[in-house]
Amino acid sequence: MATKSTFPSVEQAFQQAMRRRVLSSIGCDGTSLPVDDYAALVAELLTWDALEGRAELTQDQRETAKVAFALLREFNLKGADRTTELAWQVRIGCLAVLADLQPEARKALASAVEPEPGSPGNWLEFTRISVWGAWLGLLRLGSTADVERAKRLLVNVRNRQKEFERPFFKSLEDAVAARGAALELMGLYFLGTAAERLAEYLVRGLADGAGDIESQLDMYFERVMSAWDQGMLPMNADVAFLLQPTAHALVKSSIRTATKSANSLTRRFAESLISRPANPLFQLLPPQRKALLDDGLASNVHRSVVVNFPTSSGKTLLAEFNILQSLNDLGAERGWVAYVAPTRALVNQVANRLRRDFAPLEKRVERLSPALEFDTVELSALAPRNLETDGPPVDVFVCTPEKLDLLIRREELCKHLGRLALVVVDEAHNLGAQDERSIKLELLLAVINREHPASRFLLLTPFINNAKRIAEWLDKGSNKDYSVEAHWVPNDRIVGIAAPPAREGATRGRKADHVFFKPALTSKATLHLDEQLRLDGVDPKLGLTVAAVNQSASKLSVAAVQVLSKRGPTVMLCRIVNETWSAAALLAKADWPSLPGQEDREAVARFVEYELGSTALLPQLLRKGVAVHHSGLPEEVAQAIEWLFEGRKLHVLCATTTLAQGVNFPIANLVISSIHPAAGYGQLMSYSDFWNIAGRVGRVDQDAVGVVALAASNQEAHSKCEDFLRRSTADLVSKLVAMVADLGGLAFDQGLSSLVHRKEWSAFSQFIAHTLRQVGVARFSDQVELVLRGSFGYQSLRDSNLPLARELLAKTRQYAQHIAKDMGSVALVDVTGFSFESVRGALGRLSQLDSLDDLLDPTALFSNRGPALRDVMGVLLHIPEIRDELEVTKGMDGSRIAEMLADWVHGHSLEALAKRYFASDSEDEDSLTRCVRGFKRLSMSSSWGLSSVLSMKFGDKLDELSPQARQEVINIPSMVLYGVRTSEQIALRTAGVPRNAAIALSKELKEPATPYVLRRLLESKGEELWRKSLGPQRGSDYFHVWKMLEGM
Amino acid sequence: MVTPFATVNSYKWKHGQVSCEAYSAADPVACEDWLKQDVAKRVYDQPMIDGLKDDMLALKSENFDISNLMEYIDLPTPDALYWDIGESVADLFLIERIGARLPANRRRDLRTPKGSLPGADIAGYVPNGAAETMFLFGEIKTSSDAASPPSVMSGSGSGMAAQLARLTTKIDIRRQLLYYLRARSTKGDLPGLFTSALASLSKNQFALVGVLVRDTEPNLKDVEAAAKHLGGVLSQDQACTLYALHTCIPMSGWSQHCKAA
Repeated sequence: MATKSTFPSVEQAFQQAMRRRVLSSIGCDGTSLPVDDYAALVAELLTWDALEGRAELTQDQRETAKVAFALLREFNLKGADRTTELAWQVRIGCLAVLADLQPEARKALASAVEPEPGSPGNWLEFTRISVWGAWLGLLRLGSTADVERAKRLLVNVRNRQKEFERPFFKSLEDAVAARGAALELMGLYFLGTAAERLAEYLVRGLADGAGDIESQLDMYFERVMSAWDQGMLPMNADVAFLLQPTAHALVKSSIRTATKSANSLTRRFAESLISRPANPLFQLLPPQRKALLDDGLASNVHRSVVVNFPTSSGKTLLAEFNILQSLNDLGAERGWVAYVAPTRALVNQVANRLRRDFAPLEKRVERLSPALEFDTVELSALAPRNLETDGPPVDVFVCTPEKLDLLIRREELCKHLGRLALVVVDEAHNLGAQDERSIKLELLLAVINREHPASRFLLLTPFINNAKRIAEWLDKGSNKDYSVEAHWVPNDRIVGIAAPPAREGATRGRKADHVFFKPALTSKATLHLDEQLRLDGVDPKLGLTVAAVNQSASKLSVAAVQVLSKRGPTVMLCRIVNETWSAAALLAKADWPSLPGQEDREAVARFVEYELGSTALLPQLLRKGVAVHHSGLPEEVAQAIEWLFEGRKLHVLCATTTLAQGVNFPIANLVISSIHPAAGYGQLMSYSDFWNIAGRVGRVDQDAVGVVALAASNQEAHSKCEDFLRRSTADLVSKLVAMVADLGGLAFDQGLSSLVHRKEWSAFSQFIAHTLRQVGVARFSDQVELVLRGSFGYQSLRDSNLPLARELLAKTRQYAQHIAKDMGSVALVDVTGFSFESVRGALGRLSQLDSLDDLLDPTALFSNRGPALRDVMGVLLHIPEIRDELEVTKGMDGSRIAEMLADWVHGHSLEALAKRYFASDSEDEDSLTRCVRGFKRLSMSSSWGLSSVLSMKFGDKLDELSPQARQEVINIPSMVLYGVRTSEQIALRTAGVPRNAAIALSKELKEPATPYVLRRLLESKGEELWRKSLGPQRGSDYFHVWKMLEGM
Repeated sequence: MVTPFATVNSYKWKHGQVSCEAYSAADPVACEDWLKQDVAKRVYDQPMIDGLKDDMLALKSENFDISNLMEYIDLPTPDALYWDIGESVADLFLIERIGARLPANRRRDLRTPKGSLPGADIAGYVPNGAAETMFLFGEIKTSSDAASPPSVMSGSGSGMAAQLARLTTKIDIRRQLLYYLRARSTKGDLPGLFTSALASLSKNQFALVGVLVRDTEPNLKDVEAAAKHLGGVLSQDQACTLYALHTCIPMSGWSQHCKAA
C-alpha cells in the first residue's frame, strides 16, 4: 500500500490548506495561495487505497483521510451542476467520517444545499439527487429532519418510479445509453435502499426488523457496485465506493450500536437522546465511541474508572451512561449516585443537564447547596418522609466535594439514602492542585473507598499522564482508564501571541489600527503557521494609541479582542476584577454590529439593575453586547451572563479565571492579557487552568478555527508566552506528597497538632479523626497504615520516599493517640468540618460566653439586640479553617460581622450593603464588586460557622425543641447563606429563585413547601404569579431569568 | 500478433511540449489479418450482465418496479461501428509501441450516457523512465474524412484538442478515470503500477496522448492545428503526444473483417 511519505506534495498541500484555513479564519486573505489539485486527488486516492478490504482504518490511514478531507473541502466547484455538487458534498462528508471527524462532517455540510430533486422529468437526474440527498442527510445527522429526509426522498422515488421511469427510457437515443441508464438506476435504487436501512437503524436500532445492519449494508453496496461495475461507469461511483465504509463507520458511532447490549435503562436513555426534539443525538464522538463500544463503559463492571479526555470531548455523556448503569445495578436495593463538581456554577450546570436528560427516565436529580450544613429544605430531599411533598427518592445528588464530605460523615443521612452506587468526580485533575481542596477531595475518596466498598468511582479529567495509576489507587484489581490518544482533538485551534504595532516611526498620539498575531508551537495538536499575521481593523473609537498598546498588555488585549470578535464570541481573560471592568468599558465604545437576542439581553440587563441597583455599569455594557464575569458578581447574575454568552447573545466577555473551570461555552476567540494569575505573584497560570479554557475555544459544533491569543506587549513577555505554551501535561501528584515536607520542620517533640492550623493539615486531621471513629480506638493503631495506604498520596510517597512515608505513619499514629483522649471532640470534627484542635479551641471559647440562648431564636439572633451573634462570630474568628473567609474587609470583628449578617438576612439590597460596609475609597475596586464578593464569602463561611456552633453548643438538645422551633434553628445557617429570613424564602432560593424575587414571592406562598413542590408550582403557575408578586415588568424579567437559570 | 504499422514514422513534428508522430500500415493482408484476429477480439469483449438478474429480483422485493430495467438492460448489443474498431486499433498500437498497460478492455464504460462530464477513451499506465510508472490518459478519434484536418480534430466541445485539454483541467474527470483504474487494478502487478503512477501524479506527472486513426495518407495537417492549440492551453511541463495511425484498408471495409468470433 502507498504510504504518505511517498507523497511529499500531499503533505505540502495539506500544510497550505491549513494555512489558508487559518488565514481565512483569522480574517487575513489566504485566497492567493495556490491550490494543488493533484495533491487533493492523490490524497483522496490514498484514502481509497487504505480502504481496500478493511472494516476500519488505522490511525495513519485516518490521517490520510483527514488530509484528503482538508484538501477537498476547500475545492471550488465553479459552475458544477446540482448532482455533481451534491455528490461532492457527500464525498467530503465521507472523508470526514472516515477520518473520525464526524463533527467536522456536520460542520462542513451544515450549509449544504437542501437536496430537493425538482421535476422527475429527467428520471435519472431526479433519482441521483434524491439518493445523494438522502446520504447527505445521514452524513450530517444534525437533526431528526436529516434522517427523516433520507426516508422521505426514497419514498418519493418509489412512488413516482412507475410514472416517470418509462418515458425517460424512451427519450434516450440509443440502446447503449438506455442500458447504461438502466444499470445506473439499478445501482441508485440499491444505494437509496441502503440509506433507508441505515436511517431506520440510527433511529430504532433495527433495520427492516433486524439488527444485522452491517450485513444488510454490505449486501446493498455489493449490489450497487455490481450493477455499476458491469455497466457504463456512472457518475460518482467513486463516492459510492467511499460510502460503504462510511456507512459502517456511522453504524459503529451510532448511539444505538453503543447501547445494543446495555441494560434496558441505558437503552431507554439512548432512545430519549435520539428522540428529543432539540439537538437529538444519533452519533457519539470518537472518544465516547471508544469508551462505550470498544471498551464497554456502558456496561462497565470496573469499580474504579478514570476517563481522561480532552476538554469538550463529551465526558458528561459518558458519566450519564455510567450513572444509569450503576443505578440499574442497584436493582430493588435503595441507593444513590453522587456527582461531585468543583464550583457552584458547574454544580448548577451539571444538575440542570442531568435533570433534563434523566427526566424521561423518571430519575430524580437534585443539587445540594455548597453550604456546609443541611437545612430542612435539603433534608427533605436527603431523607424524604412524604412522597407528595418531598417527592420521590433522589437518584443523583450533584454537589461540591466539601458538601459530599459532610454528607458522607452524616451516618443517619447515608443510612436513609441507601447504597452509594457511584461517585462521579468531575474535573478530577483538581486532585493534583496544590491547595487544601485537593487534599480534602483525595481524602474524601479514600474514606468513601474504605467505608463504601460497594461504591464505584468515575473520575472525569483532562490532561493527566497517570490516569491508570489513579484508577489503580481506588481499586487495584478492578479498574480501567479511558485515555484519548493525543491525536484526537475535538476542534481546530490556533494558539499564538498578540503583539502591538511597531512603535518606531509612529507619530505621537497616533491611533493603533492593527495588532499582530504570531502563531506559536504548543504542547498540544494545535495549528501552526510560521509567520506573523497582521490583524487590521482596530476601531478608532477605542481611543487606543500605538504607544498605549505597546505599554499595556491589557490595552493590547482589548485591541486584539475587538478585532478578533468579528469572528464570533470572544472571551478576554483578565488578571484582576478591575481589569475586566476597564476592558469592558473600553470595548463598549466600539461600533458593534447588531446581535441576536436583544430581548434576552434587555431582560438580563434589567435583572442586573434590580439586583445591583440602577447605577451599576453592567446593564449598560450588556445592552452593547459586552459583559464581565468575575467573583464579584452575584451567582445568578454570573449565570445569566453565561447563559447569554452561550446563546451567542454577547460579543465579548471580560472575565477572570473564575470562568475557567468547566463552564461550557462556545468561544470563538480567547485573549489572555496575562499568564500570571492575580494570586501568587510571579507564578504562571496552571497548565490545567490554561488548557481547560483554551480547550473550549473553537467548539466541536462550530465550523471555525478557534483562536487563542496571549498578549505580549514587549519581547520579554513574548518569549515568556512562548515558553509557557510549550509546557506539557504532567502526572497528577497528590498534595500530600508536598505536605510531608512540612514534617522536616518539626522539632522531635512536635506532632501534627502543630501543623493543623494550616488548612491542608486540618483536612488530614479530619480524615484521621473520622477514621478513628469508624475503626475504633482499640484497632486504630493496627489499622492506621491501611488507612493511610488508602490515600493516593501515601501510596505515591511509599514509592518515592519510604523513610518519609514511615515518618508520616509514625506521626499519624502519635496524633491519633493524642486525639483519642477526647472522643467527644473527635465526634464533633465530623459534624463541623474543623480540626480536632479547632473544635477544642471553639468549645473552650464558647463555654466562656454568658448566654447563647438567642441562637435558638432566629428573630432575636438577627435583631442584634443581644450579644449572641457578635460573640459567636468572635469565636469563629479564632478558627483557622474559617478565619480568612470571615475577614472580608479590614478590621472585621464580631460586632461588625453580626451587623452585616443581620442586614443581609433581613434582605437589604446589595447596593445598600455596599454603601454601608464597602464604601471606603482606599480600595482599588468599586464598592459593589467588593460587597458582592465579600458577602459571598461571608455568607458561606458564617453559615458553616453557625451550623458548627449549633452542633457544638446544642447537639442532640435540638431534638428537645418543638418541631417548629427546631426547624427555625436548623435553618439559621441557610438564612445566612441565602440572605433571607424565612423557611419559604430558603425553599425558593434552593429552587434557584434569585434573592429579591424569593423575598417577594414568599408572600404569595400560603404554606412552607419543599423545592420539589415549589419547582412544579412555580412552573405551573407561570409568569402570572411572578408578575403579581414583583410587578408586571419586574415579574416577567425575574421569571424569564429564573427559567433560564434552571435550564428550562 | 504485431501491429501492421511501420516502425518508422511517416512524419514527426513538435510544437512546444506537443509532439506529433504518424505511422502507416503498408501491407493490406497483414492489416486484414490483424483486424480479423486481435482487433476483433478486443472489440467484441462485451461485459456480461447475467449476474445482475438475481439482484434485480431483489430490487423487486424492495418495492421497486423492475420491468423497465429488465427490458433495457437486456437490449441486444449493437454491432461494432467503425469508431469502436478504431479505438481498439489505437489501444493495441499504444500497448505495443509505448508499453501502455490498459487494465480492462472496457472503453465504453469510460463514457457516461448523456452525462455532463465526458470521460476519456484511454485510461491506463505507461512507464515513466526505467523504474516508475505514470497514468496514461487520452482520446481517440477515428475518421475517413478526406479533408485535413478531419472534422473530429477540431470543434470546441468534442474535438480532440478540446477533450485532451479538458482532461488536464477538470479534476472530476480525472477522479473518475482514476477510480476506474483503481477498481480494475487489484490483481497481479497492477496495484504496484497504480501506486507508482500515483507517486508520479503527486509530482504532476502523467502521460497524455491523442490517437487519430485514419484510412488516408499521412498528412501533418491532420494534427498540426490541434497540436498548436494544445501547445497554447496545456501547461509548459505537460507533454502530450498526438499519434496519427493510417491503415491501408478503407474504413468502410473494417466491419466486414472485424466480426465477433
